Amino acid sequence: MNPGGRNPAVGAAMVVGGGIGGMQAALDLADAGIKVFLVETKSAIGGRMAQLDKTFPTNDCAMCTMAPRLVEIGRHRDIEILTLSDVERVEGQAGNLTITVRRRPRYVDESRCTGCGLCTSACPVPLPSEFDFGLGQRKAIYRPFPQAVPNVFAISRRGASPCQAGCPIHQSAQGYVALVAQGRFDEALAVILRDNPIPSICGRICTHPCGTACTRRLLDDRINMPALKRFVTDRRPDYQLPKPSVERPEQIAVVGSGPAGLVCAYHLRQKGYQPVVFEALPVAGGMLAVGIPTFRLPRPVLHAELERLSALGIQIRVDTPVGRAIRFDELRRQYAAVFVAIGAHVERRLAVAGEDSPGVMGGLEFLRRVNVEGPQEVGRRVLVIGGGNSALDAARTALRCGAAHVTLVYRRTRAEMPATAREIEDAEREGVKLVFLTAPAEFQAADGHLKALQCIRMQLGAADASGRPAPQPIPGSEFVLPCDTAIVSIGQTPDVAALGERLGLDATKSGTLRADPVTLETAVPGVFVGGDCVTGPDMVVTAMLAGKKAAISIDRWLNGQDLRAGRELEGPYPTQYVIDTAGWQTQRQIPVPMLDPAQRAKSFDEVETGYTEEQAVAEARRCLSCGICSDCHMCADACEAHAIDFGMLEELREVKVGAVVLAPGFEPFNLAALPRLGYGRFPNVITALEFERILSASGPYSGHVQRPGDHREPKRIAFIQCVGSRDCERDYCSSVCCMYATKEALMAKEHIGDRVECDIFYMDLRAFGKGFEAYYERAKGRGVRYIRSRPVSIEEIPGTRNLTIQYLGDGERKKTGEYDLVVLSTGMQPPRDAKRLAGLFGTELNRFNFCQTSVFAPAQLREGVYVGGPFAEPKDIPETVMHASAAAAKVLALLNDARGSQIAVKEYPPEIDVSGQPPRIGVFVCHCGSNIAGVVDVPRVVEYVRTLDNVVYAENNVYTCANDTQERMKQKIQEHALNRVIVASCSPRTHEPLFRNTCREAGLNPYLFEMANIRDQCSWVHMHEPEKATRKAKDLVRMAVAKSRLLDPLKKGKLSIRKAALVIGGGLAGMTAAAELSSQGVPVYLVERGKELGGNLRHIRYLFNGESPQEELRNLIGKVSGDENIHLFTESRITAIDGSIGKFKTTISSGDRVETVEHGVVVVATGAGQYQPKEYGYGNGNSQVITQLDLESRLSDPGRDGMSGTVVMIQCVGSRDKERPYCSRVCCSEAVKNALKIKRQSPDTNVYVLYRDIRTYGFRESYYSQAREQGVVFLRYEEDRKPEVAKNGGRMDVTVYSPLMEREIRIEADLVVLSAGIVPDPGNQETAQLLKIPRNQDGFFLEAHMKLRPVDFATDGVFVCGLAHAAKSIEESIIQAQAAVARASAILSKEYVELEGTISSVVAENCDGCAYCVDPCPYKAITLVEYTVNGSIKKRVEVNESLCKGCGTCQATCPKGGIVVRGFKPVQLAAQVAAALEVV
Amino acid sequence: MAARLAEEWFTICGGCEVTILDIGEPLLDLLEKVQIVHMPVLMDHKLFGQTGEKTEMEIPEAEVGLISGGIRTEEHKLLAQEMRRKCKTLIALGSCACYGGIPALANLYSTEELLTKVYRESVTTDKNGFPHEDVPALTDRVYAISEVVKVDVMLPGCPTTPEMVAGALTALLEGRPFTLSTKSVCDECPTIREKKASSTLRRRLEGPEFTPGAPLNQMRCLMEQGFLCNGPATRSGCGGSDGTPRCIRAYMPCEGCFGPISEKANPMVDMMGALSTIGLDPKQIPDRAATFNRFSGAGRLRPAVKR
Amino acid sequence: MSSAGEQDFEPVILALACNWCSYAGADLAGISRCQYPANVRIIRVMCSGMVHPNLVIDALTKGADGVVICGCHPGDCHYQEGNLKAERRAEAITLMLQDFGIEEERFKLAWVSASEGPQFAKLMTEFTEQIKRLGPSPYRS
Repeated sequence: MNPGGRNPAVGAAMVVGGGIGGMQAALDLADAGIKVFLVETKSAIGGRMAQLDKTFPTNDCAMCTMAPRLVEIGRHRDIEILTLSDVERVEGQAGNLTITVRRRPRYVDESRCTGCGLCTSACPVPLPSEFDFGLGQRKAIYRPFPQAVPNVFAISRRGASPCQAGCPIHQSAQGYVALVAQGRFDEALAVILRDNPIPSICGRICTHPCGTACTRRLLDDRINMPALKRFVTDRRPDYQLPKPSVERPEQIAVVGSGPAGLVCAYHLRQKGYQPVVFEALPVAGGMLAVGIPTFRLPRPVLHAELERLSALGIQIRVDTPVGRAIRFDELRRQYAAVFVAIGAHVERRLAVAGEDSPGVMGGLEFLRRVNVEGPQEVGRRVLVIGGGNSALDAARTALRCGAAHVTLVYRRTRAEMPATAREIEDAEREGVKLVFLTAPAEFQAADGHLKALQCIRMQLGAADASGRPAPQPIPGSEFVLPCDTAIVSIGQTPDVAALGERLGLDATKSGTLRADPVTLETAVPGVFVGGDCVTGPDMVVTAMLAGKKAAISIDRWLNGQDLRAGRELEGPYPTQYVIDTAGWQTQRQIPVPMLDPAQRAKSFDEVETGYTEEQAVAEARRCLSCGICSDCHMCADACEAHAIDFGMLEELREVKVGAVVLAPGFEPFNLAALPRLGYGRFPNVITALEFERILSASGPYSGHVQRPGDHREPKRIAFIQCVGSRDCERDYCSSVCCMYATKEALMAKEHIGDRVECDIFYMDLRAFGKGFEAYYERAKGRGVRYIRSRPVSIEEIPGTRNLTIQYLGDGERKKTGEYDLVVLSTGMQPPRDAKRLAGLFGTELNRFNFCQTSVFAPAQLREGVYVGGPFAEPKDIPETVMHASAAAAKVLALLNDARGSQIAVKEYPPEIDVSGQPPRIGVFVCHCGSNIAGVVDVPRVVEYVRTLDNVVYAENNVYTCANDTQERMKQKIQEHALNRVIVASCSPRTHEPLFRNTCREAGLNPYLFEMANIRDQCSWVHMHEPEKATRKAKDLVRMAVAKSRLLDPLKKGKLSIRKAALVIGGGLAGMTAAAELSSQGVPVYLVERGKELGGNLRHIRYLFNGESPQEELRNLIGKVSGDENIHLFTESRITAIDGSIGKFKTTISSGDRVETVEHGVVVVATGAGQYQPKEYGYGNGNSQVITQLDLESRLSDPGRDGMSGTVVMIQCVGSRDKERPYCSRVCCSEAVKNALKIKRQSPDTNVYVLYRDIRTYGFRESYYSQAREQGVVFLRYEEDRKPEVAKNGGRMDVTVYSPLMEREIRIEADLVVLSAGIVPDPGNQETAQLLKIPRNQDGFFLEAHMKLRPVDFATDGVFVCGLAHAAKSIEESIIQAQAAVARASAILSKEYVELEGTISSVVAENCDGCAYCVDPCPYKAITLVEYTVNGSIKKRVEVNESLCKGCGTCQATCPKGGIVVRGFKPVQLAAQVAAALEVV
Repeated sequence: MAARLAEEWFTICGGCEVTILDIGEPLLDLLEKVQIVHMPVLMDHKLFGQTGEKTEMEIPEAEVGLISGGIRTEEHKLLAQEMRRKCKTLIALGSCACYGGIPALANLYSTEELLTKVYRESVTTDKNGFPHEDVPALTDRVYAISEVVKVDVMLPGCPTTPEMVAGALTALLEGRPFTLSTKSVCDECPTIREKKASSTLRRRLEGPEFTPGAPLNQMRCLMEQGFLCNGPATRSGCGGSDGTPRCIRAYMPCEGCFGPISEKANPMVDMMGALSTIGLDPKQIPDRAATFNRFSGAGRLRPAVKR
Repeated sequence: MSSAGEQDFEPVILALACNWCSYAGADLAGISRCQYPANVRIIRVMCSGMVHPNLVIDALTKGADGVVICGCHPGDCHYQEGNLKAERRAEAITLMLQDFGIEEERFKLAWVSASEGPQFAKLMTEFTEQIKRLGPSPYRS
């Protein structure tokens, strides 16, 4: 086939959605030769099923049944999983699509991550776990659940947090804050030191632009980052800076020892250079030393930082003014590069009269003198002119020098002051007065003493160049401020005149040095400038940025690299994402303890005393984790596989495929739309999915059922059904809720005990699936109470936080119930992506935004685009699985010619023959980073292992599973001629396939490999007992060695496959299966016992949606009978079926002709029949009591008039009773369909439907609504009071007791229509015996697994579909038939079936034919055979290897070791036991 | 020259000695080839010398030694050791010698319990003290010969079969090795096996269904008919050249008299495993230990634990 | 046993765990870092139903202080009903322990699913404590 007749089709397909449906489609396709791209938007596949606890109706553990499938997909060579991915663009046509997928970064290299989990314990950012619906926590680096596939971690990361982005040097503020919040102070310090070499200084005097950017300030106060930083550094006063890891000879001159110079020198040193810092002043530190008063920055703190830098090898030469002590050209000659950061030390002057008077001094001059020489004498009254931090520093210093009154004069208002608010506040508390809107006009002195400052009042005018309002003098407002000392602190400029020009550097008009803003280059090659001398006076951290930039530039310049590339994000930038601030709780900043203001104003002691540990942690916990990942890089440090990559970017990937299966699943109903139910307001109102997690042993409460509100065990639980289903807006039934609520109620009883009361509030109990009705009965038997009612309201009782439910029950008035916990059975909504996906793929959605499909093409959206699972209609797991398989079948047909073209073929070297060799065992013991080595003494284990017999080689590896170790392993196998390999590491369940494959690549039979689980079952569970864990690890390895000595090379058996199929049954399912198989080029033998094809479909005349069943049937019959690939056998029966998967031999007898055919698979589609009612006077020629099928044929008979009078339909005839305790699933919909038809034909006809529960699941619900709207009367009856029908003249009297009205109702009917159930075909028994397949108690065929293998049998190669499996609709029969084809295709597309190596084999000398093992074998794989020895007849069992699954029931049964499972032989297990008991 | 043969009997009924007689005519040929030097069942032979002059028990040297019966007394132990010393090849004759046999059922009780029962509580005895003088002291339990001395050839069965005794002796005299079958009774059992599952056990006296006169291969496996049969865990060979196991021939389930198939095997564990797997309620099985290890109590039966 | 003895006594306990549920549950105990005593040695079997009573009795008569077989919950068996077969055999084993003079508390059959990590740890903790209370196996030399 060549779809579209254009390019040849592509042998690949895309499956969108990695839930159970997507997984099924992917496996079916890949197993049948189609390469699959499995696109999943989350970080792991598994979907909703992974979140479930148990599954109904078998109470199987969801994870137990699902995990093996996850692993299978994870290691399938032909399935590529694209996680964190969404489809972005679709081009091309069926057979040839180009799909662009957007892949969000995981920040963890999938190929390196070993899934060991060290990162998670290192991560300081806890988040509510989405997997547990916020009931539990996870970390920012996470794996949604332990069994996740791919088994690698991912980081939730938005990018730099606002604080980090706003910091000029991008200090990872959120990072250290997160670590402080966890009490991990040393690590916090390490994070700080990564970007900041002088943190104890910054923690005191940095103005912290990070805080300005902090999101928390939108709510209450910013996080006090400086105080946290200071706390962290103060705790470890002896901390050291990281040492450079390389050394380079180049010396670099740094002129100026301020923050710019020091930071530049530090970063250069880190790159290995030899920086030398020149300082003109006698003290190092620049402004830090001379400009900042000691009560803000104690000198020991500064000196310690300088010491740390010196300790790294940075020379600081004080008293060495460049230009005087050393000439600049000399500097340029001797040093490889020069960084000039001379700061801005020249003070601005006021330029008013009397400025040269005695007692008037510059603020910086004053501070410098105090800082260098000690406290200076000042007058009693001190005036400080200026509004910046320096002015405040000067004012506060003046107080400490003994001034009685200090007044700060500023020409604008407080709002315009450049000083930080905190500094202003501190100064005022200490007693500094502030005078605003005042400008100095003239200093007045007398007698050589300053007397006063004449001032003028100002008012604010228009904004000036700085953006602040310009102050304007108010004429005539002059006044005088008396003073003894005046300190002018109105700003500084660099000493451009003195130095800059002499150095030959350009100056700007504003008196600063000119530098390239990005690279800090000057016109002089090799000379860079930065810091205050370029920017003018600015923040310390801005100067630090300059130092860092200069270091980068100098390094690049010296290495001849581009100085400019990739530096866009240097320096502060605004946050690049939006943070939703809804729902935050206020919590003010924790104030930093300070010295008493009165006391401190007299001393130079540090004003702030700093946070205590508790305060620091409490403050840090206020952080909102804006970036989610805090960028602390703790995970990267912890990851010994080096898998963390913060540089990962989003990528667009173009994929070429032939077809697409959409399986995006569903979205649980969003309860925000129904606020009256109290969800979100009342903590003890939860969703059913949340309850699943609560029930789950691996959930947030480890399976201890408790309410989220107060963790108390509930005594009464209410389940409320139809939440988000069956309402006006969502006129559909979500199909699964009745059953999952029943299951959850049962499970709650299982967990808590029968003392817990479970009440389910429901409208109709829809237990329509296979085995559901019995499950419902079981729940009732266990005491689950079903209350038919829709609750009116839910209110919380204050105090107990219990909930009151008001409801209307049968008969009586309003009732009330009190519950500890209310579980809302939320329905299914279309996936969030529904509209977008439909748009991308050009497919139609129905009015609820689910996919629009047709009854006769239920998996097809359009050619090349198929759907599987609840995206088409709400459905449960097995139906999803079947639907997905059906979609896969359609893809297989479309891409039939391209199959096999893109799948991987792996070649292995020939196998080394080890037979007869003594064991030569190699042991590889894994550290798993520190997962194992952190607890178990791995070298000691290795040493011990070497002493064991037959061990010829042993080594330890950091990660045995890493690619390079795998290569090494192969080498060692060859080098030491190893014939047994043992890896002591994690679990064989996850890693055995990998290591086996490595053995195979080294030419060793993969079954000569054995694992010792010393991580999951040793180091992780004995973390606090290293000695015992080490001993146990030795034991475990010894046990593995003991077993490995006895391992045999095993061959996987191969069964060649006869590419043909037998389909039994020529009804809808059988014909569909035959036609689909044929479209894949498979010859089919279709056997029908009747004369005609068509089965039950022949009786269906019309459908809800107007499609024409008879026309479709004619087409299908035409297709099947005209297909030369399909060999039709009508009026035939099968008399024998021999053989097994791959090669069956079937004898078909048609009349006198007997034919034997060979085929590889069997599809059982034998259908079912209609119940022949014995009730209500049916039969006996009574034409007034008929069945729905009779009615249907009457209604569609063009020769008959419409109905008139009264029609009464009675439901559940032959269903849900003692004899047939199952629901026939379709009768409710059939009744509604026929009722609607009657109403359409003759609206005046009265139609009554007497029912027990109306089970119009899925979209059938809206027809039920329609029927009610059109006046069809639905009357409920109870099982123990069935309606009575009596003949009354020409009419029928129907009497029914209505529990709702609590009275009997009598209806005079013209016609009584019985909804007769579906009964299994009596021939099923014979078919079951022929094929050795099981049936359930009701007589329908029993599939291999009710959830995940709904079309398979435990016997490989045999499949079931249609009514033979259970009652179902037309659409569902077609889906199952197509699913059977997909499953069969996986077998038929191969040349041979590969059998598992670890299966049973008979030990001929031990087997005496006692036959004990024969019946217990669950797969009927064992048969007793006779043979002759020396003329006497003996018996012995034989194993059919194609049937055996290796469960070992036989081996445990045999009284004399006559049958064993290879790889788990009794001697091998006994060797392990003996080794465990060995005393070492 | 005829080979010398010594025979001792310990705790035994004498049935295995009768088996030797049962060899019938071939015995006459055999007797020509041997010279019996010690055989208390046939002839008087003083262990402490003809006049009791020896201080230690002594028997003459022999090429072949036969011991029937298990060891119950200290004297048996010494005698077994003497036999071992004097005989080149030592044969354990019958299941008592091989596995303890029926007397080893006493191992289900402690010696004290036994003595109390027999000498004090039994209604037929005078309530006297335990015998102590003039009789050898009891061992702590019944031992198989091989538990005390090395045994070269085992001839199990209760009694063992004439054919096997003759076969073993002939082989030894002719210098051929003699080995036992490693198959189970089922291997020689001709009955039909259809479906093992059987939920209730039937009592022996109910008798199985079979067609009188019809060949045994038309009878259904007795286990499948609800009779506990020890066949799967019992060594084959009782049927001799005829092939069909002795009990089966008599329409009776195998009692297990040929003992376990291998030295390590424990028929009780093996049978309980198999029977519980096919769905039999293990509690239904009466007197478990004695049922399955009736003949192999030496080393396999222990006094019940008092709880 | 004296309490000092109980503390000194480090029993050897074997757990035979089925690959599909219980072994996975044991792994999950590790992944969830549930701690339990280091006395347990786990032997992986494909199904609890493949464990011959011989293996258990042999272990207990050769010095193991306790043996526990772990299988899937009823209904969860990967091989249909292997666990139920194991349950029947376990009844037989328990009965036979009397015959061997072994306390029946030394043997246990337990159901552990793949999602019951904490339960596995709890089971092992309790079983170890139980064995410690019983003291060394009568067969320990």
